Amino acid sequence: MLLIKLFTRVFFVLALCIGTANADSAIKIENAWSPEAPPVAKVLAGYMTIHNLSDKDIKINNVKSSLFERVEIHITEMKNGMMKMVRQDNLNIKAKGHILLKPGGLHMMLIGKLKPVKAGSTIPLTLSFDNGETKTINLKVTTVPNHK
Amino acid sequence: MSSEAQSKNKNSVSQLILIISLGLLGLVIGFWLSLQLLNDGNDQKMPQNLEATVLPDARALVGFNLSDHDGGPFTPQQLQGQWSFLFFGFTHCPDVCPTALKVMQSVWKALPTKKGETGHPKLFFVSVDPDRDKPATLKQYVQYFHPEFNAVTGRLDELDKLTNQIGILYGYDDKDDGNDLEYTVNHSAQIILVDPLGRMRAVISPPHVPETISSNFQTIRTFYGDE
Repeated sequence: MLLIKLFTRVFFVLALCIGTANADSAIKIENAWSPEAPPVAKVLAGYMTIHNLSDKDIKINNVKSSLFERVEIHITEMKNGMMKMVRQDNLNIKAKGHILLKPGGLHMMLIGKLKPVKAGSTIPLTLSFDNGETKTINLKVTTVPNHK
Repeated sequence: MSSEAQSKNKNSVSQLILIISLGLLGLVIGFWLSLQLLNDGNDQKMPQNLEATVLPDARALVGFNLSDHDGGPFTPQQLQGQWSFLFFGFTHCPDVCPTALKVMQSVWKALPTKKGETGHPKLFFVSVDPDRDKPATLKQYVQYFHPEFNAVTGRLDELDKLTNQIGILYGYDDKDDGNDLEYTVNHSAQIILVDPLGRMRAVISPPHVPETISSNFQTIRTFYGDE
């Protein structure tokens, strides 16, 4: 009996911990969207704002989506008169800071489309961070650019 | 010093300030007038107040032989008879190219003319990635943005003949291991405006804003005419 009580308590405390961890998430993602692309396009873009609410820098370890072969973070840069996409591995988000992914700058490069993606649908995206957090979000696919 | 002498002194200081001020004012007016005269000289040669960079002397685009998305020719002849917008890119481009084509879609929606009317332009999306961008893909890609849009491409040496004349640069990153998804293309993102005689007339640099492109195009069109 005592054992059961103890288990219940441990379970309760554990559940509480997990609950608190979620509520205290250091990462907040807003305004996640993807411009609808021509059906023949194999590579799409994802845009969003990622906030780091914590007091420590957080890096993005990995991004993936079930609708694409793989996802990379790139920045579009002007170099030698050309627009060049530069891969951003382990992109850092400063303590209490945020990064803005928007057309012509930082973006998620969604590579190797596996299923059709149309305006009105969503693209699931799972981001894992070096603070141990994992976030799954949905990019809203839209024909209307959202520059917020 | 007596109070009379003091006030005399003050008066002469005020007079000096007045004279200097008048002199400066004269200088400023003279400078402004000369600027106005100089500007008037320019006004006759080129349209003013544009974001786009207009070439003082239009440059004929010659000697390239590419194909459009239906297999037809794309040579200097296809640039004759109407204003044309050229944009260079590739379809595996997630950010820059769709953003530019989306902008041009808005420009097309705002055009005061309809297809076939005098002054109605054409758009040519030039793929600098002919290995991956086959005509059928290009057609679907570009016409997703607007049914009037054209896509063209061709052999690299023929592409170079066109890009070299315009000053458009492109190059590949990591194009070696045969996987179609493994390489990306770097390219200039300027939109080029070509006049109805097939001459490069203006360069529109990013960031591209539909309203600016629309109004600049109409200003340039009105200034140079549709022939």
